[in-house]
This record gives sequence, C-alpha cells and structure tokens, in this order.
Amino acid sequence: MFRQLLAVALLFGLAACELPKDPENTTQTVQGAVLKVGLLQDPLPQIDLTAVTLIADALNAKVEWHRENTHRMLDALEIGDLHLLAGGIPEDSPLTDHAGATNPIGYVTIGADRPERVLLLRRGENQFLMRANMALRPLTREAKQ
Amino acid sequence: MNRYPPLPPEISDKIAQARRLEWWTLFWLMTIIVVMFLVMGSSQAMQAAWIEDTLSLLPPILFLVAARLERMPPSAKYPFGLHRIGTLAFALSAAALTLMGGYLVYDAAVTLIRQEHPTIGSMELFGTEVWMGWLMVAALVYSIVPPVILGRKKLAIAPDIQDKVLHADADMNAADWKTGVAGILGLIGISMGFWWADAVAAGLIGLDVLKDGGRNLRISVAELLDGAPRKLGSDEMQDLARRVRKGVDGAPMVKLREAGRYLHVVIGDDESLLPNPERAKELVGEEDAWRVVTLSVASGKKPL
Repeated sequence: MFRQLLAVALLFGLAACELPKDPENTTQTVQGAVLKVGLLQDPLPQIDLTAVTLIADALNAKVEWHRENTHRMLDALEIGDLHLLAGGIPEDSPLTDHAGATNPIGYVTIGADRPERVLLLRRGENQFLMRANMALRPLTREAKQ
Repeated sequence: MNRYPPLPPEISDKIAQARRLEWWTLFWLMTIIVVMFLVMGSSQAMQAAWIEDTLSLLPPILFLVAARLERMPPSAKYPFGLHRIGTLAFALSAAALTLMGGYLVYDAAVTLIRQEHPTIGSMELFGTEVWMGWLMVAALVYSIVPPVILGRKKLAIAPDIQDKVLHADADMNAADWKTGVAGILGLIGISMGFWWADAVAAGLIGLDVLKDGGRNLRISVAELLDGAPRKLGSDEMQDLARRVRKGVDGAPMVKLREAGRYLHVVIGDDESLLPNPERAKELVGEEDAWRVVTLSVASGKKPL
C-alpha cells in the first residue's frame, strides 16, 4: 500500500504544473480582469504601490483601489470581495491570523523593530499566492539582500 | 543485596540490540525534526506533524532510561529495586501515544470547524518558483522511511524480551509513518484546491492513533494496578498462573504480577499471607499495624 501511495504522490507531483489550485478561484477571477486592492495607508507608500503594480501586470489586470474601515476591508478579503490588502503591513501583523501573506517586499519600521513588509491575500488561495510571489521576486530579492 | 537471577545471554543480547535500535531511532527522529522544521513555515498541518515527531522522541528515551535502570540493585530508598521502572516507562509511553492521537484529532476538528483554508506559500529555488507544499511532501516522504524500518525491527524483538515500552514505541513509529502518508495525501489534496483534505486525512489517522494509545493505556493501567500479566500489545491475559500451578504440588493459590518485563510470583492463598494482627503490631507498632495487608516470610534457604 505504501509504495502505491508514493507512486500516486509522484504522479500528482509530475502533473503539478497547474498546481496548486485556488479553492475559491481568485487567480481566474483576477486574470485579465480587475484586481481589487484595499488600502491600509493612504497615500500608499511607493514600495507597496510597486508591489501591487507588479502583481496586476503579471495577471493582466486593472487595479481597483478601495479605502474603507480596516475591519470591513479584512472581512471583504476573507470572502473574496477584495483580493489584496496593502500599505505598510509587517509580516507579524495580527491581521495575518485572518489572511495569507506574500513573500517580503521590503521592511516596515515600527519603533526600533524592522519586520518584513508583506501584502495580504485571502487564505488558502495558493495559486494566487504563488503567482503573486513570482511577480514580487525582484522586491523579495532586494529585501533578502 | 542484588540477588536478581542473571539474564540468559540471548535475552541480554536482544535487549542490547533493542537499545541500539532506540539510539538509531533517536538519531533519525532528530534529522526528521530538523528537516520538517526547515520546511514547515507557517503551515499548521506541518506544525502538527512536527509536534507529533517531537512527541515520538519520548518512548525511545523512556526505553533507554528504563533499560539502564531496571536492574539497579535494591537500596534503602528502593528496597525492591527498580524493576517497575519498565511499568512507569510504559505508562508514560502509552500516555504520549494517546496524547498524540488526541492532539491530531483536536487539531483536525478545529481546522474543519473554523474552515481554515491552509495557506502555503512559495519560494524561489534555482530560478523557479517552487510551491512550499512540494518541499513539504519531500520532507514527509523522508520522514516516513525510518519509522517503517525501525518499527518493524522493534516489533520483531519486543515479544522475545517481553518489552511493552518497545512495543508501544513500535506503535508510535506506525503512527509516525501513517501521519506522514496522511500529510502527503493532505498536501496533494490542498494543491488540487481541496482545503479540507489535510485536516480530514490527519483526523482519520488521529483516530487510529488514539485507538492504539487507548489500548496501550488500558494494558498499562492493568500493570500499574498489579493486574495479571497481559499479552504483549493486547488486553488478554497470559496463561502463566496455570503453568506455575502445574509445577507445584497440590492446588495452591498462585498470583502473578508484572513489573516491566519481569514477573513476581506469589504462591499461597490470601489466608496464609494475611498477617496475624498481633504479629503485625509487634512488627510495625500499634499505630501502623492496620496498614499491613500481606506478610510474606521466606521459608528457609531452599527455593520452592
């Protein structure tokens, strides 16, 4: 049984080009359409703006900006009404209990701390996260240096 | 003071072999724990697998401690020696196994009830973006190989040396590789967009582990309560008392209890072991006489 399971695992691995998928199809929804972004800071810092633009370009999508109460925007992200949250979000933000985080796009200075800066997206949308990370590579590389 | 009968050489050899196996288990588990730690990231499923791998260090450690101490000579503080350390180690191993099963089930239930969609990121590796899920699958494949091999070897030795800790540890190894397989299936499920796959797989394996843990706990409670010796890995009694009775003239009362792998045999009915109240008072004093419930006096130099 053990060997068969391994074989199954390998087969799936080989067919992995289109995997992982999004349980709620965020990538498909955004691709060639609209990327809805919630702003946690207005005006948006340059680095977050660059990050959002990189993702929108990679998915051929137009950016639609939203500025509302933070809690409402987080709720909207959780049900897919927004696709990204941006604006000086540290990777250890309590918001990450309710959302997934991209790879680092830079750093946030909070007092003496300098945690990594991320964008937030809907939990479990792993294809969308991977596409976003791919688009953000230049920023991640810079941040990791 | 130390007058335990010596172990037959083939038994000492097998105990030594079991000790070597447990050292190897510790080594491999450590490497698995490091590998899993490197890829687990913030994935809850992997964190659960990691905690459970850490928990499975406990039975091998307990075995090694018990095997080292069980033949310590009796002392003033431990006048009966430390034979029962095997009993204690087994109780703790059984508890660890049960805890692990319970944790897996609890974790899976929480994930399913809260409908937590596992988010698994990606990283750049040699120029391509690699989904961390595939790295986790690779780590899990690595993590299931040693427990399968080691567990089988332990199961082969455990009956010969009547070692319940080793047997429980083999159950733990089985739990390890099963959760590894469940984790792989769960990750494949997640990659196909089924967010619940990981929790369901882990929960089902958790129930299986909980069942094993419960069985071991029942046997362990029997041993702690001086129950009749049970068969290895089951709650059935061993047919030892009858064998002893056969070897003694008449039809005496025979009582056996286990201390780790060892047996303590008492021949004589309850009446003959009951202390005479007057004698008890003489021996331990007025105040504590009521606490004496059995009194055995060796009947001369010649063994029965």
